[in-house]
Amino acid sequence: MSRAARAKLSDLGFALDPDQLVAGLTVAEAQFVEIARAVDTGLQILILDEPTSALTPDESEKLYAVVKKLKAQGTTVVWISHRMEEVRFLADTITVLRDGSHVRTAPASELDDDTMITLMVGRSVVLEQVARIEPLGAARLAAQHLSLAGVFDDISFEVAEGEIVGIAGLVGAGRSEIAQAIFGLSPKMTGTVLVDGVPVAPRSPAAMVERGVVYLPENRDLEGVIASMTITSNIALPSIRRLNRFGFMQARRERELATSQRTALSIKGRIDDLVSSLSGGNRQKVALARWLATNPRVLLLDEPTHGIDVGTKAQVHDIMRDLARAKRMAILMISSDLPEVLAVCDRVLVIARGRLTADITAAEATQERILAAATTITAGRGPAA
Amino acid sequence: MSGTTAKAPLIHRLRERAGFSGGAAALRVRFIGVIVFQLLLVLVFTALAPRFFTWDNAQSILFTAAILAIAAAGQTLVVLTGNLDLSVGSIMGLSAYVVFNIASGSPDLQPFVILIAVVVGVVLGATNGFLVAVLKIPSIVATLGTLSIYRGIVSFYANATEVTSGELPRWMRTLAETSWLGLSSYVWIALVTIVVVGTMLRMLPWGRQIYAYGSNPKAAHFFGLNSTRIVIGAYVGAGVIAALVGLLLGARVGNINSLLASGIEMSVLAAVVIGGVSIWGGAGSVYGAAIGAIVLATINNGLVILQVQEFYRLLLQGLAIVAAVAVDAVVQRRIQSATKRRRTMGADA
Amino acid sequence: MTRLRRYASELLLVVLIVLAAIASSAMSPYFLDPANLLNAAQFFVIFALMAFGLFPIVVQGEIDISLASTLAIGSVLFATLAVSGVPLVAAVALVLLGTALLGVVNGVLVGYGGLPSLAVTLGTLGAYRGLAYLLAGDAGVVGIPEEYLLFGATKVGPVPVSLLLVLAVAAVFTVLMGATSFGRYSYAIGSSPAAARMAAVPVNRVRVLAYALGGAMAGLAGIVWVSQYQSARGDNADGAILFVLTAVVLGGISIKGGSGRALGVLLATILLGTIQTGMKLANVPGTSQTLVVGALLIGAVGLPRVVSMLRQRFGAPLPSRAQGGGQA
Repeated sequence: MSRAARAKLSDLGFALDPDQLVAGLTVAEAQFVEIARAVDTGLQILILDEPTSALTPDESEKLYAVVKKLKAQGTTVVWISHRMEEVRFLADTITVLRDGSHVRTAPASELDDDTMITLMVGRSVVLEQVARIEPLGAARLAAQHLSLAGVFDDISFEVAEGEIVGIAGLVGAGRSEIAQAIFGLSPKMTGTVLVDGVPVAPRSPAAMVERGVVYLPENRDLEGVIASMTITSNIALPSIRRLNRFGFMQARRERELATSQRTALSIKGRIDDLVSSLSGGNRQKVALARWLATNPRVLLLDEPTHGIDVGTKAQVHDIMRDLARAKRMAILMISSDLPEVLAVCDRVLVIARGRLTADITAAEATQERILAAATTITAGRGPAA
Repeated sequence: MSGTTAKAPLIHRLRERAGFSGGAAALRVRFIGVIVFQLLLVLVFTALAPRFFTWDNAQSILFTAAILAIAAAGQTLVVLTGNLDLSVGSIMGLSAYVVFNIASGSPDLQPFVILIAVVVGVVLGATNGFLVAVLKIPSIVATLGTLSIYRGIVSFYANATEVTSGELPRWMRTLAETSWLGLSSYVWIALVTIVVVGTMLRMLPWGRQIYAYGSNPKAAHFFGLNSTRIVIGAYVGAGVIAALVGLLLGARVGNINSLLASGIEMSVLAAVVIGGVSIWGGAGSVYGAAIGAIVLATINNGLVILQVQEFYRLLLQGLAIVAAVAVDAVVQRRIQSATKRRRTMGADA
Repeated sequence: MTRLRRYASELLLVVLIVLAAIASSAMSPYFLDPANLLNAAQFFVIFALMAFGLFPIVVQGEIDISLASTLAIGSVLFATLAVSGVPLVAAVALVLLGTALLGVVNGVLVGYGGLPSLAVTLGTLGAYRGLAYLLAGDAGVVGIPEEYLLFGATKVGPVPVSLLLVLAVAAVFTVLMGATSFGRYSYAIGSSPAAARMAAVPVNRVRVLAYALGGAMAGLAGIVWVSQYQSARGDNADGAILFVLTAVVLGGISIKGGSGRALGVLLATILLGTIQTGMKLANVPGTSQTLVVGALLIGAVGLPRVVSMLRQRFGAPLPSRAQGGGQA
C-alpha cells in the first residue's frame, strides 16, 4: 500500500514520503495529499474550491500541472476561484456567479477580464461612494509592529477618528487574525496597540471592550450571535454588568436597551424572538447592536456584509457611515468584496500572506491595484501568465 | 524552504532541524513516553524495595495486567472514535453469568461457550452503539445508563444465586490455571488478542476508518465514511472483547455472582488514557493501552510491596489520568498549531 | 398561555410525579403515610444538593462526575473537625471552603487548561475518592457530638430541617441562574462557547466559579450526610453520580448546555425520589432500582432525540419562539 501511494504521489509530481503523518505536513503538502487521494483512474469530476488560496506561486504551479494532466486524461475539473490570472490560464469555459445566482457561462475566449469583473461585481447602484465632508480627527487606533509568529508580521497602521479603513486581501491572508489579536484573542502577539494615544495591552476581549474596542466576527452564526437565545439577551450580553443593580439583572433595562437598538438599526423582529429565526442581515444587525450598546470607540468589523442581501447591505453601509462621521467612531472593516471596500472606505490596507503590502487612500485605490497587492508577496511573482 | 523536489530523507532532516515535524513527532514521543514512564516506575520501585525486581513478581504483575490489557484493547476501539464505554464491567458480569448459567444448566451447550459469549457481547455492544451513533446520546450518558441497566439485568437473572466454578466446563477451569513457559495462560491470551486487534486496526480498512473518523469526524463525512457503521462497529468490538474477558474473569475467580467486575471501568479507562490513546479520538494504539495496563498493574504491585495503603492506589490512578490527559492536550495543541501556522505564512515561515 | 408553554417541561414533571405517587401507593399502602414520606424525602436531600451543584456546570455544557468523591471528602472532613471540637460554624465554613477548592481544581483544568471535563473529572473522581479513604482511615469517623448533627433529626414543626435546606438551596439557584450575570453568562457559554468568548464573556472565570460552586454543594451534602448517618467513611456516596446526573437531565437541563431551570432539577429529584421510594417499599432489589434509574437517564436524553428525528422525518417545522426548557 505504501508503494502504491508513493507511486501515485510521484505520478502527480509530488515527492512526499507516504509513511509520514499528515499532521507534520505544510498546508500545501496536505492539499497535495488530498488531491492524490481524490485522483483515481476513472475519476470523472474533480471539484476544487479555492485551491490556491493558501499556496505559494511555486506550489500553485504544481497544481496547475496536475490539472492539465487530468484534463488530458479526460477528467472534468471544476475550479472555483476569484483570481483572474489563474482562471484565464486554466479554464476552457467560465461560469460567473454573483450573490447566489448564475450570471453567465461562456467559453473563456469570449470573456475578457473587464467583462468578468463587471459580471462579478454587477452594476449595483447602491454601492456608491458618499463623499465625506466631515474632517478626520486624531488617530483613534494605532497599531505598531504587530507580529504573531507564523501568522502575521510587522503590521503597522492607524485609523483616525471618524475614518473607515478597509482591509482587503485574499482568504487566509491573516486579516481576521490581525483584528482578533487586536481584540485580545491572541495574548502571544507582540507589538503595541494604542487607543487614543494610550498604549493598551490586548490581554482579553473584556479588557479591550473596556477600552472601547469591539470586534464583529466573520462567522456570524457561530461566533457573532448566540442563535438559541433571544434578541434581547444577545444585545444585552456584553452590557450585563453595567445594567445590573446589586448584582441582579434588570429585565426592564435590558428590554429598553434592546428596543432602542432595534429601532436605531431597523432590526426586523420582536425583541423576544430567537435570533435563529432572523435573516442573515438582521442577525448581523443584532451582532452589531450588542456592541453599539457599549458605546465603543473603535469598531473592528470582519466581513460585515458577507452573505447579506443587497438591500440590507446598503443599510449596513449607511449605518457604518453614520457611526464614523456623526458618532466619530474609528472603523476597521475587513472585506473580500472589493466594490464594497471602494465604495465605503476612506482608506484601504492590503494584507498578503501576513504582511502589509499596501496602504492607500480611496482616491488612489482601484480593484486591480488592490488585487495586485493581495496576490503577490514579492514583485514579479505570480502564476504563469 | 519548501524543497518538495529534494530527496525525501533530506526533507526529514531539514524538517527536524527547523522544527517542522511538530505534530507527527509529538504523537511518537507520547507513545515512547509511556514506555519510559513504565521503566521509571520499575527503577523507582526496585530502588525502594529490591524484592520488586524478581521473576515471580513480574509474573504476578503481568497476570494482573493481562485481563486489564485485553479489556483496554476493547475500550481503545471506542475511545479512538472519540467516545467512551463505561458499561464494560457490566458487560463482563452479564456475559459471564449468562454463559456459565447456560453451560451448567445444559451440558451439551458447553462447547459453544465462547460463541454464546460473543453473541452476548454483540447484542450489548450494538445497543451501546445504537444509543450513541443513531440516537446521538452523548456516550458518557448512554453508557452510564447501560452500565446500570446491564448490571440490573444480571441481578434480575441471577436472583442472588451464584454459579460456582464446579459447574463450569472443565477445559475452562484448567485453562485458568495453566501456565505456559512460566507465564500464565492469560498473559499469552492477552498477547495474542492485543496483536490481533492491533493488526486489525492497522491493516483492515475498517480499522483505518476508525482512526480517520476519530481524528476528524467532519472530514470523515466529506470522505464519504459511514460514521454510524464505524461507531457501532467499535462498540460491538468492545462489547465482544468485554464479554470474552468476562468469561476469563469468571473462570479464574471461580464464583460468579452479580457483582463480578463491578467498578472495573475506571481502571480500564485509566489504562487506555495513560497508554496514550487520546480522549479526543483518532490517536493512540492498543499497544499503548496494553502498556498502560502494565503501568497500572505495576503501580498496584509496587504499592503493595512497599506496604503502602490501598487507598493511595485510587489517588495515584486518578492523578495519572489527569496527567495523561493534560499531556495529550499539549500534543493535540502542537498538532493543531502546526497546521494552522503554515496556512497563513506559507513555507516562508 | 405563553407562560405555560415556557414551563412545559416542569409541568410534565409535576404530572409524572403525581402518576408515580399513585403507582407507588398502589404498590404499597405505606407509601402515603406522612411520617414515612418525610423520612423517605430526607434520604434524597443529599442527592438534591449535589444535583443543584451539578446544574450550572451542565448548563455551561460541561460535566462533573467527581462530585460524589468530593462529598466523601467533605463528610470525612466535617466529621473529623467535629470530633476535634472545632466550633460548628467554623467547621462548616472550612468544609465548604475546602470542597470549593477541590472544585476549583476541576474548574482550572477545564477552563484555563482547556482539558475535556469528562476526562478531568474522571481523574479527580478517583483521586478525590482515594483522598477520602486516606483521610477517613479504615474505620471511618464516628462519635460525632450531638450539636453537629443539626441536619439529621432536627425539625421545624413537622418538617425536617434538611428538607427546608433543599428548598432554600433551590430558591438560591433559581435566583442565581435566572437573575444574575453569572447565570446569564452560563447559559451563553453553554449555548455557544465561541460566541460567548467573542462577546467578551469571561468564560474561564465563569467556568471555574461553576465548578467551585459544585464542589461547595457536594461539601454541603457531605455535612448533611454526617448529620443523617452520624458517621463518615471513605466510600460514602460511591456511585451516586448516576442518580444525580439523571436528576439533572430529567429536570430538563440539556446535556449539551444552554438551557434548563432550577425548578426542573427540584421536580426531577422529587420524581426520582418518589419512584425509588416506591420501588423500595415494593421490595424491588437495589440493582433493579439502579436499572430503572439508568433506563430513565437514557430515556430522558434519548426520547427528545427520537421525537425530533421523527419530526424531521415527517416535516413538522421546529419552533422559532422561546419555549419551555429555555432560560427563565
